[in-house]
Amino acid sequence: MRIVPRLRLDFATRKRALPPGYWLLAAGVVFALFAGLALEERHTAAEKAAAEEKARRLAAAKPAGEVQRFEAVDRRLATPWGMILTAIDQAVADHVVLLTVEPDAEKGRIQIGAEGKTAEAMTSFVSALANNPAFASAVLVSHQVRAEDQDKPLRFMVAVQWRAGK
Amino acid sequence: MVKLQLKKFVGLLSRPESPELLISPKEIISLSKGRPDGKLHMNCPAADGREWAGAMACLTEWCGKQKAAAGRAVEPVIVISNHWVRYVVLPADRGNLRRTEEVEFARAMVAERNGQEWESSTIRLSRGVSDEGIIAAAIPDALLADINAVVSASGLRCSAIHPLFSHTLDHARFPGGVSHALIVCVEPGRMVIGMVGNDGWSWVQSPLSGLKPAVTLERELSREQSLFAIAGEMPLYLFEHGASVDQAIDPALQVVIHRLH
Repeated sequence: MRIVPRLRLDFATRKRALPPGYWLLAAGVVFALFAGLALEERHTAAEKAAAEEKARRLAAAKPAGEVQRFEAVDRRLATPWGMILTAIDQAVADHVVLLTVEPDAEKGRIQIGAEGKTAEAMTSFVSALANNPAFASAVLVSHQVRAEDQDKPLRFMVAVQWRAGK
Repeated sequence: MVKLQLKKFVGLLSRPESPELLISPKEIISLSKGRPDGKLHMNCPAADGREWAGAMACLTEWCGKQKAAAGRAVEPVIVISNHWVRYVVLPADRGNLRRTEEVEFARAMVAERNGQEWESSTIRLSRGVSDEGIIAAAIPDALLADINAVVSASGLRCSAIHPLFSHTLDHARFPGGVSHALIVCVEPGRMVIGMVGNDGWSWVQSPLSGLKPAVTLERELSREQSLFAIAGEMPLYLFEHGASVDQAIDPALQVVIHRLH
């Protein structure tokens, strides 16, 4: 601590004033501050309007989503399961065993897994499906010989597209 | 053109120059942070009129040169010799005086100790950590009026007017670790001696010092030692402005002199 305190004895009648440039600078700073605040306010208002618009759009979009879900459910309910299963049943010959039937109502497809004793049995099954008027197409997706089985049967997959409106 | 505008703008932002000028009865010298810097030395022969008439003639000349020199604005700090300043320490038990009453009280004290002519003086009070140990400084109104008239006549203005003693102290760097100290500011023909402690100022005198400042210093210290019972060694911080204490001080006074410039 300074033992001798500063006396600060000033006899000048006029106190030191800041140079005029400082007042100009201060005025500039104040102006910039106000301008910044005004811009910020405008920016905030624009952001707020954008957020409101987004919320409004989302609110408007919500019923459409609901509609899509209802349509999906409706499609599933409208699938002609009876006709499809009858058509598959008709295509199955003596030497073909049906293993799996995986329908995809959204896309109107059925993935059929089956096993045939011979290649002819497999191709006749696929042809029967393809020729059925209930289906738009029937395509052999894959097939393989089961070597572990002494009869060497063919296990295969068929993709079937059914006709809409049927 | 752009350069000129830039210079004008920088000029608006920059503070005016504030050279420190010590105004003494016989000379004007320049200071830098309270110390003589050797940049200016004007001898001021005595002139008819008041005792500071010669110094005012010098100041007029200096101000005229500043006005003539183009460029940055100049607002001098005028430092007034201790010849024209008187100090008193206000007593601690002065009651609950208001600021204006304290000033009048100080003026009365100055006039009582130094003569009735000091009734027409301007008073400034220092402010310490408490009401104790406050210094009052007095400068004749006529001197302040003359300084302001000379400076303003040249289109300049004073940024500050300080007594030499306070100006020197305010710029000095004192070593710490002491509880009391003596402060001495010597000029040709006059000195200011004061004692300061943690409670502020105990006393301040501004005696004439003649040709041998050391003799005056010894005399004043002997007198104050009996009055204020200075015990043990005490540091004495010495500021010499154009005069020096070039003689050993009586060891019985138990002061250790530290020259600060």
